Amino acid sequence: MVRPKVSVIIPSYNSSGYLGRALHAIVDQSYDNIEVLVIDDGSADNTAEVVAHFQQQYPWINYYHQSNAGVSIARNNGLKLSTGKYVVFFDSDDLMEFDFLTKRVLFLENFSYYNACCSVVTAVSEKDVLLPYYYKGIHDHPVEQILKHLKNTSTCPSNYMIKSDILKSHHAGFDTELSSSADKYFFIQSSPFLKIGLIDSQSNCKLLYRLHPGGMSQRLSIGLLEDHKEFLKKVIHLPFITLRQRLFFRFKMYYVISGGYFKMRHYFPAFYYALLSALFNPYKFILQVCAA
Amino acid sequence: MCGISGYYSTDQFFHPEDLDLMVRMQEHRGPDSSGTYRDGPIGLGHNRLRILDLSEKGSQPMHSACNRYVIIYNGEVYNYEELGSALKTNTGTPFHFRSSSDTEVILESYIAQGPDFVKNLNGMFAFVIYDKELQEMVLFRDRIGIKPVYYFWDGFHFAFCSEIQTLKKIGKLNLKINYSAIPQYLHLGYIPAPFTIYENCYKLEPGHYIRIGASGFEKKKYWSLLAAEKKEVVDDEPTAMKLLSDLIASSVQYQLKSDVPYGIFLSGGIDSSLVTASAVKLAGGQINTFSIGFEDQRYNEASYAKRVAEHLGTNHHEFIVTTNDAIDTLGDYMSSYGEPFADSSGIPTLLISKLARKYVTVALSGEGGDELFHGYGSYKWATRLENYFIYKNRFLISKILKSTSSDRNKRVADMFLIDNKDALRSHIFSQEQYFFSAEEISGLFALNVLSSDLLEHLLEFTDTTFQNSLEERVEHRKLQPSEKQAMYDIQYYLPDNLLVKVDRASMHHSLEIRVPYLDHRLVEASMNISPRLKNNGVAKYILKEILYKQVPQTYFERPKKGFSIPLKHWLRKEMYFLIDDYLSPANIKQAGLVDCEYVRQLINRFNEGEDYLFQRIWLLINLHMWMRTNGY
Repeated sequence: MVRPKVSVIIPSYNSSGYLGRALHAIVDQSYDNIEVLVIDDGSADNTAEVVAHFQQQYPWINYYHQSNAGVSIARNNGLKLSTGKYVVFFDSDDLMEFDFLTKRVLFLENFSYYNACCSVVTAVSEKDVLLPYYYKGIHDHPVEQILKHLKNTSTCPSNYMIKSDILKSHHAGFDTELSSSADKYFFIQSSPFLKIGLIDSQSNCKLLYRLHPGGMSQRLSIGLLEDHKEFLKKVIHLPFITLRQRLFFRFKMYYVISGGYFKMRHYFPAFYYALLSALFNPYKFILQVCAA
Repeated sequence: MCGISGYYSTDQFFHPEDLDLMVRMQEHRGPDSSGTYRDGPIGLGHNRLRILDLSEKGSQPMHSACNRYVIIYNGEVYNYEELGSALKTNTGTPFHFRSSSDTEVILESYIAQGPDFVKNLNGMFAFVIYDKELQEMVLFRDRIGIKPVYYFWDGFHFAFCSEIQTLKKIGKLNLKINYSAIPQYLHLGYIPAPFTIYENCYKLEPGHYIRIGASGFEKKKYWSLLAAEKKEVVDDEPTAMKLLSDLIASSVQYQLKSDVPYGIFLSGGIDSSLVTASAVKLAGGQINTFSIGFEDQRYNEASYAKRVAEHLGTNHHEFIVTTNDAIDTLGDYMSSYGEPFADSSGIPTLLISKLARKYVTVALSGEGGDELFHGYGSYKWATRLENYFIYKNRFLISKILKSTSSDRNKRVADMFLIDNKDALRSHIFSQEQYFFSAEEISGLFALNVLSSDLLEHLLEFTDTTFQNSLEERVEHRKLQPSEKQAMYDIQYYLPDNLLVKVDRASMHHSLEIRVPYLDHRLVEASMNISPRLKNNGVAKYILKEILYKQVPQTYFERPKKGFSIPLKHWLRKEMYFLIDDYLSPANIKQAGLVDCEYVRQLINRFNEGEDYLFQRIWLLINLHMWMRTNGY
């Protein structure tokens, strides 16, 4: 019996150190029909060498090079090149547990309603030490879960196994104009046809999500805030987003953007976005400010 | 009625002895004969209970006329004669059947029409058809889930059977406890499909089929309850009565077909009395009816059944259950289900099946009437809790009720304690049955193998899938809360609890039970009857109106008791030893599933007079009994 092929698409940009560990975790999987597509997004490090080292023993690991064009284009190119029944967009710095792929395939076979699935996520440190942070992947109502910025949920694409024909037939992919919000936008945009289930077990199938020291605040930049604004603009123009969701999302995103500006000590835009946020939902705005 | 079992694996993981073992394990399901078939990657096993075509020609596994296909089959397809006479050979001439059994008709229809032929079948079934040429098999389960199918699938090896204990017996499958199922069991009293108590073991959901072969594993849904929903409901009483009584008559007529003696379970309630009345009208002659009662007069409905039986002129048999009978049945009760299962009415169902089997091989039963025609209190609760003002003030109402001294108010107070509106359906079901609420479970469940997020997700599982299935509707109309709650029950409670209870209890005594209300035509039609006609202050109004034309109303004027047993009294006295034994701190610690201190407090509260906790205690007793019986 042939088990369905799983394509693991790994965009990689100057992260050969992590990539080696990710590939190790993949070749150690309990699943046996895998193809890996490493999309080197114009790295300046030894990414090619690391992959070549694995290719000697595992010919099903493929290497593709593109000049630096961003993670979304790398993922979309990977999807085009993939031949598996299922795809996983895996980030080069994450790790997967032993039954990560097997349990996902079994889930999709057993729950015929779903065409994508995810599991619980646990965080790992720089040095692969497990950290006591649990998240669950967004599932069943991705739009609501993303718009509400629910705590303990993760939109890290590494977690999701998706039926590739559903993506290909809907010409779905990651938005190339977005960077850090690309994954969230991907799930919102594909929510009309993507049915994501959450796996009912957390033994040996978790995603180990890399938590980099410093977290978001260190990586906060004008670029990130611009990305948030772009994300907001795109989401509210989607036809299936209801008026209520639109209003709420404006309030929420303006609040987040304002907070970002505050932390970066850009007080003028911070006040401007705080005002906008308050305008869209004064009651919740006051609650949020009090809670902060 | 029969038992089916088998496997598929390309690496010779399974051996012939495994198949023999599976067949032996299910012998009680079909003591008349058994058979096996092996070929390449597969093995098929069958236990036969002869109901139709008593000759050897009907024995299984049965090969097709062209010899390319093999079938094993458990169940009854009632319209097989029509299907058979409509079947034509390639040359257009009527098909010539070798036997008079429904098995052969199913097999040949599948060959002629492919898997979609299943949509033409009317009945209860679970069957496997194997294609020798492609080395591929297809496993079907009926629309409502009357006949059981369990399967094991780890991505490499596939095995299936009619009872989950059979899989447990195959040592090499090395089944581990699925801890995710335990909170669901504590919440609902059963484990909802597709989950089972074992990892990698699943229940095949009703209305689904699985195809497995060289190209892999594929599961498909061929029927959906909600797809039957129409935009316009039948709101006119005479039209609805005509529609339903015709369908009930047609269904009963189909199901009376049998080459062996048959009878009817008559509890004296609305559902079973209507089945009996219809059967008497259709069959003529004397029909055997069976009922049971309890020594405890508060629970005894036997006299009501007797009056109905006398009125209809049936040959009535009655059996009075004593506490000792119930205690003696506990062993059978535990061994029949193979999973933790907390429906205590499984005990009387076992006893009545035993009684009936002395006289008949087939019995009709009234399951499904309450779900289709809104007989349960939970449907009223759905309406209440979805009322905006009640929902907004639910915590206040709960506090007020809790502060009163009445036992009834205290348990009702739990119904209002709902935090998560997404989990309303399961909450209502769970609290109506006095099971553990989602909140209680997070305090009770001791295992750290589940994060709180996952626990919450699991407790909402049935709600989420129910919500998802609403998308299958072709025509949308605004469903009433009571309708949604009833559909939720039809999707989960009925196949995973009620029908499991009926199938295991009857099969334990090699009796076939048929359920006329669950004819899919009747189920689909009832979806489109206005809820106003189902309950207009009188529960099951329309059904009662049909019945009262045949049996005087005075026979039924009493509060509804259902088929319940005096469990809460038994647990205080004669069955208290179960609490002492299974819920002792030592035993609970050894099992390590739930918090010891929590259980101690629960038992104390029960001992101090909080009667409504008996179901929660029964859940825990069953869980620990299951652990011990299965050597965990």
